Amino acid sequence: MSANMFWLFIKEEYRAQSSMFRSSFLMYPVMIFVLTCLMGLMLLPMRMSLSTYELITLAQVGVFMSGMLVGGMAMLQETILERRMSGIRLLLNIPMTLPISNKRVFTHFYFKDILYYICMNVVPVVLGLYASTFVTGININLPLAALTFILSFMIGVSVSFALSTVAVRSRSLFAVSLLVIVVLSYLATIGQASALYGIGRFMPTVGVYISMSMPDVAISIVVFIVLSAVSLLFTREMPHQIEKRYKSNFRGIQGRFKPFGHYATLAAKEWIDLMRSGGIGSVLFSFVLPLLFLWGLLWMMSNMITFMGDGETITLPFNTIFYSIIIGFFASLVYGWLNNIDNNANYRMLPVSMTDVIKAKLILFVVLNAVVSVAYLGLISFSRGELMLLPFGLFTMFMVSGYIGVLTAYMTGVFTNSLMFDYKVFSIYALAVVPVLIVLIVLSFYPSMLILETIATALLGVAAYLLLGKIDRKWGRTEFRA
Amino acid sequence: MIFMTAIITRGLNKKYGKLEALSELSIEVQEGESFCLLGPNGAGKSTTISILTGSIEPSSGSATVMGIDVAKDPIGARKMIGIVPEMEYPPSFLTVREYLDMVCSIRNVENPEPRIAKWIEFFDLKSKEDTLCKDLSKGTKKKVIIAAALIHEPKLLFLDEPFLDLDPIVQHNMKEYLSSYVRDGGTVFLSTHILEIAEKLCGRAGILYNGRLIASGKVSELKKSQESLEDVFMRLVKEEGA
Repeated sequence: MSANMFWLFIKEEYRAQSSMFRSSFLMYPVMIFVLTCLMGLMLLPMRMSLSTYELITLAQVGVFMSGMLVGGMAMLQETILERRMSGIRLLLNIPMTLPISNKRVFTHFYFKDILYYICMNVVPVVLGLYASTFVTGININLPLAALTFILSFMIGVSVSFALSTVAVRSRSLFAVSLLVIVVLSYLATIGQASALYGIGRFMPTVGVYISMSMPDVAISIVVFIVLSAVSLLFTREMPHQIEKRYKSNFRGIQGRFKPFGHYATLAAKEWIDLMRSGGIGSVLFSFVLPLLFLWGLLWMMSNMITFMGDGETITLPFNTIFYSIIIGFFASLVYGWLNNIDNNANYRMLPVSMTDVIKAKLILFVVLNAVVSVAYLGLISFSRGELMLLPFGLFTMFMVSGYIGVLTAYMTGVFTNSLMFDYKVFSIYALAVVPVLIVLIVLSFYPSMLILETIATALLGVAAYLLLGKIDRKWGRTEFRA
Repeated sequence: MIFMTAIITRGLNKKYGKLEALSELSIEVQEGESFCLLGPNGAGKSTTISILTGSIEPSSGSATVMGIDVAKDPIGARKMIGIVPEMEYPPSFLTVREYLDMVCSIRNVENPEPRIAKWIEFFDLKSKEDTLCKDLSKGTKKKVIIAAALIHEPKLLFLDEPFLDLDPIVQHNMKEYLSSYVRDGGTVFLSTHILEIAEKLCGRAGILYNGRLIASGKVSELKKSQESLEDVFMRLVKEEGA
């Protein structure tokens, strides 16, 4: 490792973030701090249902998962270099022109990411949790929390890095590895009081926090070092080039989008992008994670209400309409995925405006919604025995997702993934979305107000239509850029 | 045969913050003419082409392409022209054939099949027509981009360093094609560093330096006795820099 090169990587990361998101990226750790602080307040009601051991496990698993999200670098390496940042040359490219190995450069990149995200993610989490204790009075050992969270994060990064390295080498070995992890996780929960007790056995950092176990500290460090070293060892020295070929079917796909008039061509291109980039998997998966999150949220909400009601168990009437609002919101996030696939700069050669591209993406968004969201809501409605509510639920879901999807398109154009990190844009977005969701969710708790709810969601449809008409004025003259 | 003015710019300016990328650029290019914009790196050549093709708006001044005010109707202007930007790649997940199909569809090309076949053959892309564009070599990507710019047979071509990354055979074929294109009444607006190409292809040239047009005229008039275009370029840039 060269200290000089490591420092260059740190500077590059800072400059990349500040040029993409301007000063807004500095708001990110502040947001993490505030969110963790709020979640820390939830510890009071959560203590009614979970033991200290389970709460500690939950926290360590949360930080471990955030490390997993950072760690999929081996998978992203080629994508970052080839497509999304084709106009930008990163330090990762220097092995192409200088006598330095890719492994050596990537090692610096890897440790830079760990340090950078410990500062941006883990430190605000520790501080946020600690700040919440001034309200809750819960005793948290700050140095020990910092140590174990950093260790959990590092293990998460190394596990994810190892898995992504395996995936790059062999998809089948990756599938087997995932299967082994799932089976082991399941076996660990057998005979345990709860799944968290089982998972806690796999997390050495839980033992570190509970009993200052030095062997567990050693295990955590060894796991990180071994997984990182093996992954770095197997990092490819040269990008793996496979020439993919497809029989042309552009006109066939374009024909399927014919009802959308002159947007059919661009919508067909977006569809092909989604299918061939593997983006469809991300779209489907993007529903699964939020639905799991929703399950956790509902569980926490019922705990909180029970806590506020002096221990009296209260059941919230979460029905199909409620789920249609939530799925509608999650569906709107798909628009962001569609802007994450390929660079749009090529359109500057053609008689196409930014508005055309945005509307083509919105068409695909609606098509995906009509299949994926309808399937999810149908399953939920069926499993709850509320098929009578399904037509209202579908209407609500389409209006909510339509409103938020068009609002996202209006506010961020095709730059969703950078502009959403602009705190001004995000604040306006939150103000336009959160109150609407709260009102609709509250209305959904009262079946007698179904008509009022339907009228309210119809108004969202009107708002979406009006915003759609304004997209051209806002984005029509925007330059396509790399 | 009646020739109209294909490109007119009047006092064109472009500022990026405090940087003046283009200053008071006024040029005219007649239909059926081949005009070359020369200049060192950062002189404003690509900025000029970006403005003329409606990719970016000028800070002030006007630009008309094929009778259309580019600032007012960039899409209308782009319908009439073919564009080869300096650094551009075709979409990653379309095959070569699919991309050309898409371009024909956007440009409302009637009976696109023979045209696609013609350019695939011209650039020797037959063996790559079903390959995803992201998996092509840099030179092959450039061929696809040029094919996409020519496929609707526009009357005006904007070419920004079109010969970069092309092998000598394709360069030769392209030069031959562009010569015949101009002979048949087509207009070429070319930006290049390769002065030999400019000398061979262009009747008139303009030299940009620090965003300003320091010389413009027929290539033969710009040259003093026994001078090559390279000598002219070096002399004018040195004089301006002094």
